[in-house]
Order: sequence, then structure tokens, then C-alpha cells
Amino acid sequence: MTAPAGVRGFFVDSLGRALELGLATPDDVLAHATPDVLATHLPRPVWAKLLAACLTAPRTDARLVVDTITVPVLCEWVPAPLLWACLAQVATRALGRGLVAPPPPLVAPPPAAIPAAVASAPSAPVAAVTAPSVTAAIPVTPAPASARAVEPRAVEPRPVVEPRTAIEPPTAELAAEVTRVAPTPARPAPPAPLPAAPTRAATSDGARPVEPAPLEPPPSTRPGAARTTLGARRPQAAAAMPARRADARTDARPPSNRAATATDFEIEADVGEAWRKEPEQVDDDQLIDWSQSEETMTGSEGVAPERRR
Amino acid sequence: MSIEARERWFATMMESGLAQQIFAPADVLRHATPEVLAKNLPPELLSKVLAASLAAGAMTPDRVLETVTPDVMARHLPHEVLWECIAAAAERAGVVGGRAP
Repeated sequence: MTAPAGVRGFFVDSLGRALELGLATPDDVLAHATPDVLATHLPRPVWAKLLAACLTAPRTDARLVVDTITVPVLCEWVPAPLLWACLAQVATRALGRGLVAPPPPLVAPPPAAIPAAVASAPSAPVAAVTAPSVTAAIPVTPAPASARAVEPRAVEPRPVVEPRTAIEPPTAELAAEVTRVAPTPARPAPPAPLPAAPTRAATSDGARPVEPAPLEPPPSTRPGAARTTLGARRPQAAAAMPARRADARTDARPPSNRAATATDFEIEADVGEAWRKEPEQVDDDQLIDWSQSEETMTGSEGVAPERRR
Repeated sequence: MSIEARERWFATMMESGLAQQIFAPADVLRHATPEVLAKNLPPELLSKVLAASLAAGAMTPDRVLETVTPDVMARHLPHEVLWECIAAAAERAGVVGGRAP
């Protein structure tokens, strides 16, 4: 029982093209045109050809069978309903009806638009700026949105360049500034949540222009840098605790910043050396001057008598 | 499977079905209704269909399919619609053991 000529030609075209395009596989064909079906409907000469091919080939698989029999011959001898079943299976797969997923296209658009907006945010601070829009679309995370909404505005004029300028001052000046400035930035520091991102940004920016090692301490010491960059960790730096500072800086900045750790030590070393060097120089030449000029010894009551003696 | 491959396959089936007279242009337009065509065909093709019909003095299924070729159908019309057309034709031909997907 073979299909009419027109239908057979249609099956030949459709199945042949599906195999050619990879939409159907020989396994799909043999799933319907099983060996039993072939044995029942294929003429003996075709079977003889198939057996010879299988015996000759190192491996017998569906492709070999279909290639040997050929699609036109299959469609000529295999019952049309079976061919149709095969074709329908391929079409089902091609149309994706194996999955019950017609709604996805409707749901897809909104999330696609949102991630696009989020993806546009290149860095952490910018993400914070875009956060409000995201939260507006999705009320899932309202709390962080409020916090972020405030931050970005304060950060928007983020002076990524400031860290560089703040990095420039020499260590000698920094020593004085540290004692003066450090406490003040600690108080205005409250905008704490920002610091982490700015520090990274500062480091990333600092990576492009070659920054000298001693330049890094300022971000915490400088007032401008304190406002823009480090808010939360500044109090630690402002505490003027040398040991803690070093720890805080090392923690805040990734290990990639060699200069950060180096400068921390340098700052403290510079300050100590500055205090040490002055007395050493004075010992040689100005000891006499110090004893003679008592005006300089203002508050020391206990020392005066000794000198008088 | 890629979309292109699926389009080419459906184009082949539509072309073969018409060539083998499994279904006729009228059968195609029974599924690819004016609404489907108007919704899915690009403006230039709609214009072309109308212009050809105006030039011939009538809009017949054969004339529509002269412009809306199997390739065009596979490219622009929903494949589900095309498959309904094919399945219906196969059912009429009595080769359908089961139902279309």
C-alpha cells in the first residue's frame, strides 16, 4: 500500500529536505520505518543492496540504512501514514511543540528591557545611579533602592580625578595634614556606604597613570578625597592609629595595590623619621642655642630648674 | 535547529505540496487568511500583492501566491499556519494516521 504519486513526491521532498537541513535525522526515519516495516514493504532487491552495504561498511547505523535505501525508495515503499508520522514528528520538534511554552515571548520583553538598563551600568557607582530606575520597574528591592537613590546623587559628581590630585602632596605635608585633617573627615564620613566603590575606582584610575608610591595615602588623609571616596573607613584612618590604619588600608584595597601598603608604611616612617632627624641635627649644632634660648622652652617648668642649675 | 533551516524546510514543503497538488493556492489562503497575511507580510509585499491584483483586474489565490511564494510564506508567515495547511492536505489525502502536531 503505497502513497499516491503526488503525496509520495511530497514526502520525498519534505523528508529529503529535512534530512538535508538537519531538521530530521536518519534515526527519526528508522523510528517509524522500523526494520520490521522495511522487511515487510521493501522489495528483495533493495534488501539485497542494503545487506551488502551493511556487510561492507565497518559500522551499521541508521544513516547507512537511509543512505543506502535512499529517501525516494523509502517513500515509494513505506506506507504513507508512517511517513506522515515521521514528518509530523519532525515538524513537532521544529515547531517546538514538545514544550508548552507559548507564553514565554510575552513574558520575555519586560525582563529583557530591565537587564539592558542594568547592563548599561559599567561600574559600581553607576549601577547605584541606575538602581532607582530598576527599583521603579521592579519593587522587589525597595530598601536598597532608597539608600542607593541618595548615594548616587552625592556621588554623581564623583571626582574620580580627585584621588589623583589628592595623591600628589608630599609626605612631609601629609604628616601635618594627617593630624589636622584626619579627625574632620571622620565626622563627615557618615556617607559610609560609598567608600568601597570609590576606592576601587580610585585604584583603577590610579593604575592608568603611573602613580608614585607615596601618593596613595591622601585619599584617606585629604579632605576632598575623604568626602568623595572613603567614607566608612576614614574614621579608622582618622583615628590616627598607625597600626590600625595600615590594617584598614590593606583590607580596603586589594593586594594588587602594592603602593597602598608601601605608602602606609612610608607615611608612618616618614613622620617618625621627620621627628627623629630634627633632634639629631640639633644635637650637633644647636644644642647650645637650645639651652641659651629659654624662650623656646615655654611650658616646661620642671626643665627650667635643671637648666638653671 | 536553526530558524533558517526551518524556514527552508517549510518553503520546500509548501513548494512541494503545491507542485504535487497536495494542496492548492486556495487551500493555502484558507489557512493563511487575509488577516494572517496583513499581520505578517511586510508593507512592500502587501503593496506588491495589491498592485499585481489591480493590474490583473482580480485578486485570486493563484495571483496572491505568485507574489507570496513558498519562500515568502516560510519567511514571514507563522510556521504553525503553514503546517496546519500541510496537515489538512495530508488528512484530505488520507495519509494521516494520527493528528497533526
